[in-house]
Amino acid sequence: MLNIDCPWCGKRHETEFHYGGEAHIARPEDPAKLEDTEWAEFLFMRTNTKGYFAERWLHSHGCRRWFNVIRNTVTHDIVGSYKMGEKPPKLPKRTGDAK
Amino acid sequence: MTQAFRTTSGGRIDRRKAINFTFNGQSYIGYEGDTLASALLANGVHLLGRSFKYHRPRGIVAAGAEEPNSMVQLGEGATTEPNIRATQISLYEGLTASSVNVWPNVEFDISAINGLFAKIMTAGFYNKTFMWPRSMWMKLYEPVIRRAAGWGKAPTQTDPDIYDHMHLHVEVMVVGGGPAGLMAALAAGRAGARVLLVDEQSEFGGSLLSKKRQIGAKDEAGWIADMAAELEAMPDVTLLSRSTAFGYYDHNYLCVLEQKTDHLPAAERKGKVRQRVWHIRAGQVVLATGAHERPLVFADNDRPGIMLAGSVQTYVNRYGVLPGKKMVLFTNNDAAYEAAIDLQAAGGDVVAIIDCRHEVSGELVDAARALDIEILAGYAITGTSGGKRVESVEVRAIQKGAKVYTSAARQIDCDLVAMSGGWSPVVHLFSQSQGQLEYDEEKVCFLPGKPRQAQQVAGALAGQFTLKECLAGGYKAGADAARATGFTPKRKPAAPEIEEPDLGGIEPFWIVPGSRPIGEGMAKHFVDLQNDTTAADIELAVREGFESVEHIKRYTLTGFGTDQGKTSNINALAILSGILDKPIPKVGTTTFRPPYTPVSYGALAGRNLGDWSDPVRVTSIHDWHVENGALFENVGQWKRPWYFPKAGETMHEALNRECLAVRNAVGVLDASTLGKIDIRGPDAAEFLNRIYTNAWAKLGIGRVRYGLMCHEDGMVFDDGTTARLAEDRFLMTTTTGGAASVLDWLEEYLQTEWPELKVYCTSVTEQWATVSIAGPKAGAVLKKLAPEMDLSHENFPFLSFKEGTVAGLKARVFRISFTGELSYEINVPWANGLALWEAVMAAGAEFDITPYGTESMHILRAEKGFIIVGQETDGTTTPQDLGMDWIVSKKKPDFIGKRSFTRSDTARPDRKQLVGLLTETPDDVLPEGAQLVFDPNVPKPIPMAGHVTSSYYSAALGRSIALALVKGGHGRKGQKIFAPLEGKTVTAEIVDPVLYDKEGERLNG
Amino acid sequence: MAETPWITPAAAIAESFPDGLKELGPRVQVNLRGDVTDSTFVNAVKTATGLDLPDAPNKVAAGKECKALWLSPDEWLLVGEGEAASLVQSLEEALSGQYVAINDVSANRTIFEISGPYCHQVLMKSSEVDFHPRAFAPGNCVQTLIAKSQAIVEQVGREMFHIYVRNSFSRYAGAWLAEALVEYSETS
Ligand SMILES: [Zn+2]
Repeated sequence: MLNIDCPWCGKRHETEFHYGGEAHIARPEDPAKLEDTEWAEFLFMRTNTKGYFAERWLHSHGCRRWFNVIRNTVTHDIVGSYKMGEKPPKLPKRTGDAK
Repeated sequence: MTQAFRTTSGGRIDRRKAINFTFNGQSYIGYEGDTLASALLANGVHLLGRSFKYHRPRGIVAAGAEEPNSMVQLGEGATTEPNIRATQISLYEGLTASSVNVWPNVEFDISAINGLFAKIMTAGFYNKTFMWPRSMWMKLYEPVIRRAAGWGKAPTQTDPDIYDHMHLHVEVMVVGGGPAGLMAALAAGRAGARVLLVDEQSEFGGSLLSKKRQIGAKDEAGWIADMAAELEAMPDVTLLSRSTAFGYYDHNYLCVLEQKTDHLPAAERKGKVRQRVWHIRAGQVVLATGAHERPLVFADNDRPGIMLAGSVQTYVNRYGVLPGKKMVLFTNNDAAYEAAIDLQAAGGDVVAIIDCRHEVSGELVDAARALDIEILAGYAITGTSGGKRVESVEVRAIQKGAKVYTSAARQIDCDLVAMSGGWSPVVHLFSQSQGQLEYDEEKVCFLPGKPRQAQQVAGALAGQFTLKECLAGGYKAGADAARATGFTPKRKPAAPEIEEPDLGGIEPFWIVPGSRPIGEGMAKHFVDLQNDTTAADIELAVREGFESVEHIKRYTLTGFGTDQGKTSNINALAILSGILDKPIPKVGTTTFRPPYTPVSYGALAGRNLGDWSDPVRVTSIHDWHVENGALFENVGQWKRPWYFPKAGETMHEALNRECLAVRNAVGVLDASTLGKIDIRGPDAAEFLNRIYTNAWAKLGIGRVRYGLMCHEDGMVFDDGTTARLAEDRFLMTTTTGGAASVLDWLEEYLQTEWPELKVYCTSVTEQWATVSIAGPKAGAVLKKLAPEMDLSHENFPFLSFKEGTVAGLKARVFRISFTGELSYEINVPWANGLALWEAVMAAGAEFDITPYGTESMHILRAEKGFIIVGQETDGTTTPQDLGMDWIVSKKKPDFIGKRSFTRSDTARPDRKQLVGLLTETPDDVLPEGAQLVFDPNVPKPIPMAGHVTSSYYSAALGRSIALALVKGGHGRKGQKIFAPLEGKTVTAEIVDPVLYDKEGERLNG
Repeated sequence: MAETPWITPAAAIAESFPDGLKELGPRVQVNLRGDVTDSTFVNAVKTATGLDLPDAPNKVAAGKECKALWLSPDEWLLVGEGEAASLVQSLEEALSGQYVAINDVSANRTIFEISGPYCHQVLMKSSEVDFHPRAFAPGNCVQTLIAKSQAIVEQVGREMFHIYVRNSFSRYAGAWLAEALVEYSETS
């Protein structure tokens, strides 16, 4: 079970959180201007990364804040978490590396 | 029967405390401190069961968790447990156990005839033989195989025992209470860390419980006692014995099974927690899980009385039992000699040591020689004989590298064979934690490589095979773990003088040939005793094209079962490496998965059973519903009244009565479960504009509006009414099941997409109890309860609310309707819900006010064609599909879901669209979920046209009604559609979904 | 207004609670949201309640009339005795015109009190949060799960905790806590 570092509450067990999918996918400013394919890209396409991945979590049973986490999808190592609007922490060089 | 094989003294058993127990119907006596296995051996019982496939007689091989054979059915009735290892069952007064996989009994087992057909029951036998014909599988093959191959029996009654879970956070968790683990716990504990030490055995000490050692001024028992005493005195050190760490998960999360009462007689267990699963989050983990001894793979190495050498030593020293009186030791290493020396010292007779190494020397070898034990160096056991117990071994001189030994055979009579092929560190938890293994050529075993988690390894697991190394390695691991979690370790204590023999050497010897090539003749070289996998099976698998170790495992079953190959994995791997002519590290290991040893479902479930398997949420009026005969329906986690049958009423009659009461007089519904969210801030109206499909900016204060929510993909996901409380404040209602997900979704947009919007959302679901009254007399009832409230349609119109006093309670009354009738939803603070309900019932008595449940509510709204999210929608339904274009704003430039409405797929004309259905025969009520077709007479498969989403008998209309999603349904009104059901096809007409009071005249009562 | 008794689903089972567990009566509970970095907001709250709102996570600030439990970076639960309406009113007045949310949630949750030498064990059976004295102390609060029910846990004494549970969950949570204690009450 993951131990997730809420930027406000600190480390709590995964059961207190909800997963929110890939981070940094902004809703288009003016959806009406987009072609169907562009809109479909926003709606459906995600990167499915093997290795370090920026993803969103909601501390649903705690402070109810949404935030971002960098997690290695191979090892489940969490490099760090950061608030919405903040810059992600620096990533370790190679994917799949041990801490 | 007396304990003929008990030594005269010694061991950690209490000889003053005799314990009576029964095995296979026979009564025996053991001592406190015994396991079932040691007590049986003390009574000379070796034959414990029959093997999985060939039903060969099998006995006890080991003394702990690695035991592959001696699984028994423990206990009787509701608490019986199948396939428990006799080596891990602490003996208690009144214990009963029996063999598994035997029929009719262990002495005479009919399926043993399988042994005669052994030639055809090779690897992949089941896969190959029972393939065809397919129909035979269910009827014949499976039941027969299951009876023949089955192990124990699962209990048929409900488990009466109590299980629970505990969560613990520590800085340092130590797994394994042997010398290394004890030292690690001591180092971390002295440094001030919170420490947990777990060990699967009944007492701490690990391998020291089996050996005689002098540590400084103390013997092994004294040293263990001192360590335990110091640890126990530390307030933040938790010690758990009889506790197995069975799973090592991400981020140093481990699960431990504590067996709290399994060692107690039945009378002392009552009311106590039987087993507890500890969920541990540790800053650092010290793994000191020890090592398991490997068997040697030689011809017919499975007879009862053939045991691991270290286990023989354990039975002698720890339990005061001689597993045999005439022992042959077969080894490839020096360390195993200690078992022979200890057995001889305890009164047994070691008739020979068969050492497959040609040159042997060293302290232990000399000690054996000094006892006049015959040592045959460069020899091997090439066969055994005996039925239910080994009686003799055949030994031959080894010709190096030969596939067959042709040297002269010598028979040696014995009643016990101790074997040792070296030691395999217990890497299971390390591997579960994703650590990689490294093969050590010199120590002839896999050792932990670089850990993947915050972790230390110590003791035999780390290849520290001497006590001296264990104590030093354990202390270092504990100190390092404490340091890594922010503590400063105390100075290392001076190492005590330790008396222990030199470890000596080891030479790998993975398979022992016989007088015929492996796989020829009747002799079997067993690799995995639990699964009856032989070396020949592995050879066969390779010949048939399997090369990957994971494939071989599945084809031959090696490493499956309750022991997960603790004694067999490395031997199988090494044999495979020999056949493939690849070095062992290149062959790789199979994956170690939790659990390390089996865990019962009861323990995994803990207290999350029955009413607690999921929370049951109830309203403040719930007990009234119970007392008044309501039947309940689960809506999310809520219990909602489904309907209120009167005595002798069928469901159909009750629903007709409830619905007609609402249509003709007045009904009352507990609507407290709807989600309620307070939305406040200067941008609240703008926010609602973006998240609902319709417009909100102009909604007047005091007014209410219905809204639909879609996800970005344009699919409906929740609905409800929202009231404007003030210029900057709204009260939103959501569906009962959607309350939490809607709030999360609102927060998601506020926090991640539009942080510039000044809006706060606050859940107030349980602040308010909601009583809904509906029907032509609803106004009259409310008038009695709120005489000062102006209920005129001009001053309290549909879709508005008022604050005031109802039944003397501070209330907010909404005039909204889900039934099409005049309806008021009265909200009072939660704790006042029952008082309000009772006041409503009293005031409505003169109108025969009728409580109704969710089923009548569903019928009433279906008559009006109102959707229920999750029933008429399934995540692929747009507002347009539902015919609700009227609620989708054309003017708003953007809102969630809008862009998706013009995608080619959502704009398709043949999408499934919501329609009403009227069956040709008015009494036919279509089943919900029924598939619909346009033409039932075309050849199969008939193209599907849609499905029924809601279907009821409508008392108000005197016939059945249904709602359905039908392809292109909006353009098909008046057409026929068909529901092919079992035995008949029902014809229906596609109609408008609004079937009752199309003009909405009843809304004003 | 008629006074009605504090009836929660847990009340029906509270009589059978073992020593060390009880359901408290009604308390004033007001949910407050606002920007803690805005001194106008913080000062106005102080004027209305006498409280210095805690800006550190999981802290409780005590005042004369009421205390404030940190729920999230912009959300607090004010808990006290007396009349909810008057607390709401004084907050509304003091914060008039500001971007805030004030909700009377007195009826939303009920409060269980666990106390005595085994209260930590009860929490260990019920929650995954670390309540060990090294990690949690009087003056701390946390939003988490008690069994499978959302809850706020506040430590009020060395061996005393208050557990705030939504009313609809209160029978489930109350029964769970009671059962968690049984093991200890029978042996003590
Ligand atoms: Zn948080």
